[in-house]
Amino acid sequence: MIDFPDAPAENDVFQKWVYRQSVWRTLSYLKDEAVVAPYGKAKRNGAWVEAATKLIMEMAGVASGTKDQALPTGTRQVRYAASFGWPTGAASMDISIRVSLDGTVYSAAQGYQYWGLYNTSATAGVNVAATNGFNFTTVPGHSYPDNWFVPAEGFHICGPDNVAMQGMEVSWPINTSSQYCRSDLRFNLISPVYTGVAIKGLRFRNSGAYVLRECSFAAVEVMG
Amino acid sequence: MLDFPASPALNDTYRDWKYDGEKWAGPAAIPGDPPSDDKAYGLRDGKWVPVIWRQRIDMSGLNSKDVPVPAGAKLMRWMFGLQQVGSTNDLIMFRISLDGTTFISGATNYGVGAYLHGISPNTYVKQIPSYTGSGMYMTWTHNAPTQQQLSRGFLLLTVPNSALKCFISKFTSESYNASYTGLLTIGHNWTNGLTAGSGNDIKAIRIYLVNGSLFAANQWLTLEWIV
Repeated sequence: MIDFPDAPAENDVFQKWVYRQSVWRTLSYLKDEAVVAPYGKAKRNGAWVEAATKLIMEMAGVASGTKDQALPTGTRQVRYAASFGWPTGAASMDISIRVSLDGTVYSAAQGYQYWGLYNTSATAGVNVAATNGFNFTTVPGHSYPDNWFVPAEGFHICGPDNVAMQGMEVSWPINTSSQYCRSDLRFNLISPVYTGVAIKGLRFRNSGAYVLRECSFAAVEVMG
Repeated sequence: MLDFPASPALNDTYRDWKYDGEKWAGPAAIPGDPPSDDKAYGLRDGKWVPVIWRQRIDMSGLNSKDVPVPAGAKLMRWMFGLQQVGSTNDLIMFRISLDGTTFISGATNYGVGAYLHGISPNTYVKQIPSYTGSGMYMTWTHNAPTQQQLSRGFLLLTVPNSALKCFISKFTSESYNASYTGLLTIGHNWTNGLTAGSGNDIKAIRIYLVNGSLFAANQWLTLEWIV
């Protein structure tokens, strides 16, 4: 027999129940309030507000393959910070990101483009390219040593209506042969076929022939 | 009806209870609501702790939006891809208010420096134009109106000591214009003409299109407030 208090006040707690909105609810209800939405929640001034949902995509050991991450329904914005460990013996590495609009199909067509700055040792300029993914690490003229990590960060936003999905990336390729450590900023634009829709999935790709080193990962934040 | 297992083993669970070898122990008490002090709180190890509040603001159809700064916030981060309507190339800026209602807008109240990229393919114009204006830049590119202007950056919301009388922000913005191929900017801003010392906390931010355009439909920006 559970003998609930006769005249509870809002938010009173009794054993494993909390009195909310005239009903004794299980304490897990409080958690449910927060997790019922696809994104994280925090409490502010008595109300639940949207907070970041973070995901970690481990990339260590990924060899010439892909790593997919499904995203919550309604995702329109992703932000990531990543580190890719340069494999021993690899003369080149090609890490890129693709998006899926149905959670299954990741376009491999040349539907991704970028504008931006390639700041090499001697020159700097604009590069326009159509690729099959948003590239993190392919930088013309760079040579990479063993045992280096390439940090990268960026975000992508779904375009509204007639605007394509766009994003910004920053990565820091390292070239020890000239002792340069450079910024590489890019402006991405995905094919207009993807306009105005949410992102259902992210795919990180290692299209090289080498296995990514330990400590290779991407920390991803998703937003509605 | 609660029907506890008759012969539980240590650490067996039944719904939210756990058998501790002697009795079915109930769930740990949860804290009440966190303080209503403008901060956002999340649960960590059963306790409310301050977390970053991510605010999504609808800019659709607006030219400007005034956003109050949460009490005690020290840093604002922004991130957006915003599109305007109309044929006028426009730029996104912000102004600050120290009282929550009056926005500093003098012609020389803000200073801007930036690296500007573009003009034509394969050129990089490394400029540091140091000049003053009536607002702080969040984007600084000739934008094609049909494209989004992307920007991210941060703004310090308080002056740390009496010797300083400026606020600092830094941003990276990019947008696309077919005539310019690719443009990007790394800029930093500061505020001139403020009284030094106490009271120089920012109470509100006004974000606006400087040439009077309106934001298109389905436009929103993300602000993060760090206490």
